[in-house]
Amino acid sequence: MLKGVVISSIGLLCPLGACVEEALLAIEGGRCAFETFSLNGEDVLISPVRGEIVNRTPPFKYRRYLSPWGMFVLYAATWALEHGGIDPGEYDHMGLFLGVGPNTEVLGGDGLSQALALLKVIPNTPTCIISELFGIHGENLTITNACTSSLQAVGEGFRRIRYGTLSLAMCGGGDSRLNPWGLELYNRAHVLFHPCDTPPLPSYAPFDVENQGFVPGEGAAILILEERERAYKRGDFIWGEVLGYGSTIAGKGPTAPLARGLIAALSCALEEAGLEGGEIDVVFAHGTGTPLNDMAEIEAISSVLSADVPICALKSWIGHLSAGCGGVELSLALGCVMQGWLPPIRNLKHPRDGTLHFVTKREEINLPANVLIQNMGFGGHNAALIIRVGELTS
Amino acid sequence: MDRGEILVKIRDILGEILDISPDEIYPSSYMIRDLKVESIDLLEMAVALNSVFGIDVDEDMAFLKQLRLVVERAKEEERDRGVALREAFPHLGPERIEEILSEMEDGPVLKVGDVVAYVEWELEKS
Repeated sequence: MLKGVVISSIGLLCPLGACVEEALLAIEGGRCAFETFSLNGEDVLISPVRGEIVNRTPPFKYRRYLSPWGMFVLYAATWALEHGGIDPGEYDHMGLFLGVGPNTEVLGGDGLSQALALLKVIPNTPTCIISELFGIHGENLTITNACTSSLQAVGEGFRRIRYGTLSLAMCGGGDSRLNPWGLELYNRAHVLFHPCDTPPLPSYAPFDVENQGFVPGEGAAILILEERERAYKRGDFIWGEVLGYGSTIAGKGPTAPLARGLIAALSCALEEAGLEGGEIDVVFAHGTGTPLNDMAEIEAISSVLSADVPICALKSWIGHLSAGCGGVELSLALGCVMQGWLPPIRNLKHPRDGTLHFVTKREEINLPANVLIQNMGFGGHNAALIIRVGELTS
Repeated sequence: MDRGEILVKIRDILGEILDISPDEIYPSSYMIRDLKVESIDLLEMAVALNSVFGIDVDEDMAFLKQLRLVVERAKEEERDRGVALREAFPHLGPERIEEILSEMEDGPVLKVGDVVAYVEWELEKS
């Protein structure tokens, strides 16, 4: 028998705050965290995490091997466990699914003097450290599928619980490429948003015809997924019930997104959720602001969902968190929807498609609501997750 | 560089590697028993000693890695254990050698002070 799967705790660190509530307050207050970074004498916008993270995590000596985003993931994991209702005695059989990016800092040679600098390069070091610090020993994966990584990590945890191989899973991930080497890689690929492209004011706007590129950000999110009945019996706060997941790979070129790959992922997620496209109440799009991505998403949304479904794009607020974007956007989306509102796409003035319902001003949303999160990644990866907020299925 | 200066630098190195305050580290601290140093930490320490003091670190000597083997071999060859240890670890003084022989049954004997003595000996040599 298939199990119901709920999200019972969320730890978040993003450019707008160090928990979901703090980040939502920033969005409600119209604040975003973009700042200018001089890259080889050229101005680009970045969206960094504020404040000192080191002192917000438990002391441990393997900190020396963690990338910046590894620290972010650890912070989010610590928060999620401390604020969740799971008895530490149960951590032993918890699963651990993390979506992460590369540590681009090593390209500059920083920290390579260590004997085990290798640990700064291999992507599963945060997975290992979280396992040791909290005593988590269940089934696990470290996923490195570019920008779909952390949403896929949640999807993988969901599937394990749904099919009964786990009852409890820590899922999510993080990323940061906000260093000269990571930013230079983006710049060479011509994917960065340049403020000077849209004078007089910088205005990054996913889905706008004038937008050419994204603002890179950083951060992490960790979500605790568990079997619905367990969380329900415990009486814990429940963020939402995961209903369906889909992931596909386009198999056509290492960079360009393909609408049919995303359409297939959306279809899988809908089928698993037992829903029709018209039953999705809001979609939180990948919405990078690169023309090819935005056009592929518009095609997929038009093909699968109803024409009037509200479309949000959280990258307009926090930037593009790469491998970490899915988990962070999922967390913020659940927070907004649970409070009954949808965040506007900042600065969107001239949508690429005039027939779709892009959210350009704060809107209300009624609960219960079926929320769709979708991400696309370099490599042709596509991921979609459907969550019901405000009501558990029977 | 005198022994005090070497100690300060080694406490800083160890503090950073172990993510603890250098104030918690004394010459008399047992590296493994007290500070919970693991083999992975010794690897980092050798790299750091090389970088900070400019010495080629002989890890067997610096961290007394072959100590029990030296003692066992002396026993087999019916040699004096203290003499064998002094030959293998010339940076350790006679008093420390005697102390090591008397505390070997209690666990790993390496102390922070032994590493300080090793660095001092290496620096004097060069």
